[in-house]
Amino acid sequence: MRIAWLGALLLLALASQRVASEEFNFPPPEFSQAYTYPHVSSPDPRPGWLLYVDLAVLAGTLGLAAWLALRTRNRRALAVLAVFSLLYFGFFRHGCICSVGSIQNVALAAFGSEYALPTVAGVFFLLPLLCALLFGRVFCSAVCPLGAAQELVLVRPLKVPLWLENGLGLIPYVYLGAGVLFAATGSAFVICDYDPFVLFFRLAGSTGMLIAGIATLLLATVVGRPYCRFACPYGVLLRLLAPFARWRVRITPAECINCHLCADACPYGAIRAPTPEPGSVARDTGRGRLILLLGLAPAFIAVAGGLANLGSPILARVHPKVRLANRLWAEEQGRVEGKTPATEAYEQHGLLTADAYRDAAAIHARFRVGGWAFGGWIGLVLALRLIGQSLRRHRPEYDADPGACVGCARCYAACPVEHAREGLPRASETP
Amino acid sequence: MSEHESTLPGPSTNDEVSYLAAGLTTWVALTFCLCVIGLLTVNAVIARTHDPLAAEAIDLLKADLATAVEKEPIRAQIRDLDAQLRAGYFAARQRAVQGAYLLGVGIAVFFLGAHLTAKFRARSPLPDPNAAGRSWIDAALSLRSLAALGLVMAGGLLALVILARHDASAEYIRTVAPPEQVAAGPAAAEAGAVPLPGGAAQAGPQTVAVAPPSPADVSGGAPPPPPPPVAVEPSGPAPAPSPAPTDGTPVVVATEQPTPQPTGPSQDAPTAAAAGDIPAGWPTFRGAAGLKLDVAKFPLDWDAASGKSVAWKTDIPLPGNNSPIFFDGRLFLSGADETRREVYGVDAKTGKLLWTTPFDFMPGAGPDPPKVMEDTGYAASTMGTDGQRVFSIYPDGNLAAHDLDGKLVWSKALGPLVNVYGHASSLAIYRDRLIVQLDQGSSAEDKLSALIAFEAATGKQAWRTERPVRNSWSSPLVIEAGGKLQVITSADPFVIAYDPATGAELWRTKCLSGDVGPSPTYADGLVYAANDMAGVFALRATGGLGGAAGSVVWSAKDGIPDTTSPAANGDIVVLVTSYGTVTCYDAKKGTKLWEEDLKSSFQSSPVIVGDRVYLSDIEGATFIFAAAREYKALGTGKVAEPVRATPAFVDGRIYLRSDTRLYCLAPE
Repeated sequence: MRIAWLGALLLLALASQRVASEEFNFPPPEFSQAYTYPHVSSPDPRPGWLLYVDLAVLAGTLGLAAWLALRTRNRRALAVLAVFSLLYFGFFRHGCICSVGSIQNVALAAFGSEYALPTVAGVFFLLPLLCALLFGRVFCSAVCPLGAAQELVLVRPLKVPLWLENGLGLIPYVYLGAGVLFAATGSAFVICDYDPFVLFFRLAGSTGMLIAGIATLLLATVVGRPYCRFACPYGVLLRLLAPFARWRVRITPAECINCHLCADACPYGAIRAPTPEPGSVARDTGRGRLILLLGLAPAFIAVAGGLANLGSPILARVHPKVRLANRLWAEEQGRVEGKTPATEAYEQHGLLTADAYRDAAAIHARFRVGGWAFGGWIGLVLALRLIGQSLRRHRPEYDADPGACVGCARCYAACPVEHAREGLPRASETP
Repeated sequence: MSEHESTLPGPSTNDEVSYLAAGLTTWVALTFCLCVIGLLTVNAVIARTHDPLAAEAIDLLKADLATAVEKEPIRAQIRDLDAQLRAGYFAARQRAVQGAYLLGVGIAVFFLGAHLTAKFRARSPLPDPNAAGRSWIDAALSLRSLAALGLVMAGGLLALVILARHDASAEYIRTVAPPEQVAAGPAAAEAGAVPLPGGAAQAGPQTVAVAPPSPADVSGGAPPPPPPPVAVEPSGPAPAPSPAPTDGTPVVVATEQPTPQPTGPSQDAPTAAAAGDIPAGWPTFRGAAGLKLDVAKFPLDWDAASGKSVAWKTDIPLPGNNSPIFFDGRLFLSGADETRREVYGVDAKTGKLLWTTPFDFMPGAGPDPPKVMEDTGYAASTMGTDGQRVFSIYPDGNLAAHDLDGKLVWSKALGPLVNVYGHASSLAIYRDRLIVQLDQGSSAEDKLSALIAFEAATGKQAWRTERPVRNSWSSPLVIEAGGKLQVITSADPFVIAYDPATGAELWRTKCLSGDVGPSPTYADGLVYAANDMAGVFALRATGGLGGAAGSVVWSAKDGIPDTTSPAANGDIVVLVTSYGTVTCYDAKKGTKLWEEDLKSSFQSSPVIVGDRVYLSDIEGATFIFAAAREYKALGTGKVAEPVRATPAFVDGRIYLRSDTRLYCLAPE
């Protein structure tokens, strides 16, 4: 059975390539005639009032998800809501605008001088964060279309070792830093460019995106929410805010009996096992390590920031103006032969290369500053996560990590205390 | 059954039925998906045959169109076939989209069935009694995992640093904004106009005309007059006149510090690096070291018909657009037609033709005379002298050296030359070297252009530097800037500076395009280069805090010369178009100061002498106006014949060459 659907998905990848790789990239006809240009842009710009409909739907689904996850604790209803979110925010709205990508809109508005943040982008950015402060990561539970897609294809979850999860958990922070850097410098919206699911929402994209999307979905059938846990930059912000939630997921409001069944049922590794009191030796060791890491943290930040600053010319190549200037210079110096369409068009427009170099120089300057920030951020995150692993906390019972818990409600069904509290028949009593 | 397996009761009959139904649904959905995938694949293959961007039939029709006499039927065929292919292509795409939606539905049903199937075969969860005890182990492993990933990230950042060391961006960044400008924000980056230190605000977006018109397009009708290469641009006290149509821009040694004049701003007088670099007199196109021009000595008006201020006039046997050069009391110039060419020596005091030396056509220049435009002529390049010999070059590439008495010393054949209008670049002198700018070919890719230095005494090649430019008609300019000598050259697309001692390139700036006739000029640290397709550019001759050598200080678009060369004196830059517009810019800032339509035609370049500008038109009239920030006419001169060459100014006398005569004009 597993082989069958795995094989089917692989064939889908091959056949869908033609569908997914079609991109409207036709030049206009050379000869005039009655010709209707095909519609090529996606998604269409939305009329003003429909944008507010999207905001209303977002607010409604967030509220409903919070109610279902925290109040009714109904997994089936959450699954239905996830289907709705996937259909509306994913296929109907073609995945744009989404909260994950809105990080870049905010970054560009904050650091760019010629971009005004659209209201809808601002709300898509802020509202889920506000909900995280109130209810935890309910956005992830059944509202985010990316998470919903992964949630719905998870069939046979495998456990990811905690050490691997913690290590790979660094990647979303780096992705967030990179997304902000490239958006703030006006280079690219990399989070959108490398969204593995948007290809399915729009039925258009590059072959690379198709492969990434298929691979992510295949992985999501056995690894719970791989994009959410190991890539999503918005999840970083939610993870930081969710621990402060006023109300959050409790596996059982009653006393936990430490049976581990909830942790076994959670496919996302979000349930933390109880920990015993550390002994004096362990406490001393931990304290020493903590002091060392605290001392090294500034060095991490400085070194990473310095390296990113020195490497900023490579990062700057993401900006199309820098790529153009590099190519113009290479052609001017005779290091390459021929012209690219971009340089040919530049020359045909009679534009000065000096202007291109000047623009690129200014962009490089921004990347030098941004490099310090980006590298410093990586160093800071690494230091803090290392410090976090060095802290010894006593935990008497199983508890959902508020930063990692996406409120999928799987743990409720596995908890025997919940069964008893809800009056559900025990397994031994089933026919 | 193992001890770890569930001991719960097995599934009921209803559960078994549900399981089978879910499984069947899953298989049916899978089959459906596979069928749709197959159809999509077939559709994709069909779509490939309808790709209008890769249609061989259309390519063949286009090839036929290029050579066909009756083009309209072929055009109709191309249109029809293109429309047919596009219709087929987009129909296939629409089918693909529909198939994708069906596939989506199939996948959704598949996963629904898979979920249900998994539910009925769900593994019962098992408690793990050792979970709590593993927490410290997990923490230790997590530390190592984080450390490992941290090292990987550090490695990635280090790789960026290593790659950045070979990034070329640092090279072009140095050529543009000065260090204090590099940190400018996005506004500056996007605006494209960066104010530079010293208040020299660069002009806004430099939009040059899309394509330089071919000669056929220039006049929009009858035989297009070739844009004659600009004659020497006069600048400074003794700008060497160059023949107008061709680029007779003899190399001029630019003076770093203009000779102070009793009136007016400093001269744009190129200076040699040191005494002995360039002989005194008027050895090439533009002045000479040590000459102090007392502007008051030069006449403000003359009339050849009445003889006013005409010291003498001498008939020159053969025509030529080259300007006279002066050394040791004698003038030298050349003349040529299709079958003859001669070098002349004239007594500067009396005008007597001292000697006439024919220069035979050398073998190796090709059997046919070179093709030149009528306005260019066969003796466009101004001669040069090192004080012992006089040098001349011709459109067929023949280069000759005569002694001051007219005896041939050596000669070389550098041709045949590939130059659409005929070679017109004048010669430059650097110490004991003769510098020849030999720009050829219709494209830089032809790789025919070069800057060559010959030993003046023997004609032996001292060095040769290939140039990445196409044919031009401007002349090299030897200047001293920052205590060092440079040879400045203009062509499409670069202004390039070379070390005159070695031929090594010092800097280059890409700013010109089209037919480059005007020669560069220099004043007070800035090189001025212009041509009508690109504009006028002020470039730093040397690097410093203000910017790298060759960086653009300012540029402008108005009144740009097509044939004449700019003149500059450190305070103003004067540009003259062939159709009579004179435009004056602030030399440092590029601000347009004034513009005047003289309602005449010019092929001779303006000359700044003290506080005056001398400008001769093709009717033989010379306009004299103030070298100032406002236009003010000062006087006029008139000779009977057209004047295309730029005059020489020596010791109060103006040596003016018309089509048939050489005049000496001096105050009465």
